Amino acid sequence: MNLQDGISLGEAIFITLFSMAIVFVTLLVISFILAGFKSVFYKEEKKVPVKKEVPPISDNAVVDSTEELVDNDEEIVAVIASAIAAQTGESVENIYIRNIRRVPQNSPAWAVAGRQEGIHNNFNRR
Amino acid sequence: MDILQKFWESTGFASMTGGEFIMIIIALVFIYLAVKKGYEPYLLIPIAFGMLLVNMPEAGLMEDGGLLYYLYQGTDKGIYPPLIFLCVGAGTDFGPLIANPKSILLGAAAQFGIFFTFIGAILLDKLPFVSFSGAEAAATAIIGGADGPTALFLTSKLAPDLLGPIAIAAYSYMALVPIIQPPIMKALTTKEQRQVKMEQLRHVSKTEKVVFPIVVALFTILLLPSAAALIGMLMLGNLIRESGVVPKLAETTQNSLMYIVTILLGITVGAKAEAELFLTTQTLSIIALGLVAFSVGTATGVLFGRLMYKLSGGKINPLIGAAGVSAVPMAARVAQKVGQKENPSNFLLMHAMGPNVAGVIGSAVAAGLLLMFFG
Repeated sequence: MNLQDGISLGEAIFITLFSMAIVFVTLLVISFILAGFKSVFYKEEKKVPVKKEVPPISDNAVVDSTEELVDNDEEIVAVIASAIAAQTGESVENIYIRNIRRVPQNSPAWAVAGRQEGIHNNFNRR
Repeated sequence: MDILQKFWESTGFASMTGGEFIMIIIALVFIYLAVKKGYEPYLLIPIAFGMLLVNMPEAGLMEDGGLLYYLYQGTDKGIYPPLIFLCVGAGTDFGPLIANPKSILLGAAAQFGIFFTFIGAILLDKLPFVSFSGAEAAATAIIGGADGPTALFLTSKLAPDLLGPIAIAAYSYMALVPIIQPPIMKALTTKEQRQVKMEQLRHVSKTEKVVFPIVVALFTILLLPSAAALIGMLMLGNLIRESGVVPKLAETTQNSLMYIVTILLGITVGAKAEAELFLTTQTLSIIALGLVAFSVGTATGVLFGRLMYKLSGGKINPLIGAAGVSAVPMAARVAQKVGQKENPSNFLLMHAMGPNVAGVIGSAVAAGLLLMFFG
């Protein structure tokens, strides 16, 4: 195909179809590669530290060391929202919860026990 | 008296042609638009001043030996546009694309604007008063890629004489995206579709972000060697950003280098707008075709978005398809704005960034293909 001079409409349509096909195939393959990324790399990425630690509410709570995302569990959201409201004195309407994540328990069991005792004493004093 | 006569003849006032006078007026209008109206001032100021300088008679800045002639070599040899791509890569977060790989196809669909315009230019060539060679048609069509550096790169390779009009058309329409796109987006979607809320994007790990530019560069350049300059630089820039070990390079490319190259590119592109090259029917056709390119690209992006809306069972908001034309990040912001108008709690910005940055890759691939055919 000599494309240096003027080109015919037929050639133009051919170039269009061919090029669009290549553009689509290229991006489709990249899209598949990216979909592959998800299965290869995604699992590693769950150790994001949580910015704000939410105080545990029930005393004897055994906190799971494996971390999991709490998805739309309305009851937990409600409990945490009210806990934050109680603690900060804000109205629940003014608290926006974007994301709740269980924090991996790193502190030793004795420290946890001590902390829980502290919270308990606080409650009793009131 | 003789000396005075000679001096007068050597001044630009004596030897100015009508065309040069008109070009100077146009340049002044552009400077006004940039300074007073704030239309893409970072680009328009150097472009307009380049136009002004090159149309000064007797100055000879674009002749062999003139300052702009040497600076222009960077545009002519296709050096500045890939350098801009390096900086763009360093400033682009491909995270939204990695998180939602399907959205990349919207970036492909919107490239149809390029090829539709290409056919349009070939058809115009059949008219008696306009002429477009294949290469010129291809350079004009790439305006539809809505990506300044890609358009300038391809034009400098295929039709350097058209650099002035094509740069001005491409950058003007990119500035006008918030005006051009919304009516098309609204006409092609239903209210219900525009209100669709999309699921939150997953978190993208650092590893993924680092691997992404390497994989894309490898695959795309192996498939299409003619896209190597653009894709290679874009992905190098992105690797600099995501690697996290060279913050100084990331900072330099995103800021200093970007502005340095923009000045050089702008002034030399403006310097290509010499009266005899610019004041032609071809320029008018290019400006008209550019609008067609943008509109058709937006339309096909949105239509493909509708297809994906259907296929996904109503999970994808077709508005994000309009962002596939690139024009980063303006087109994504437009999608966000139009979506939020229909449903104030809707945040499409990050979802639209996926097709938006995919559009950059898509138009670079399209440019590579056109270069392969006509280069």
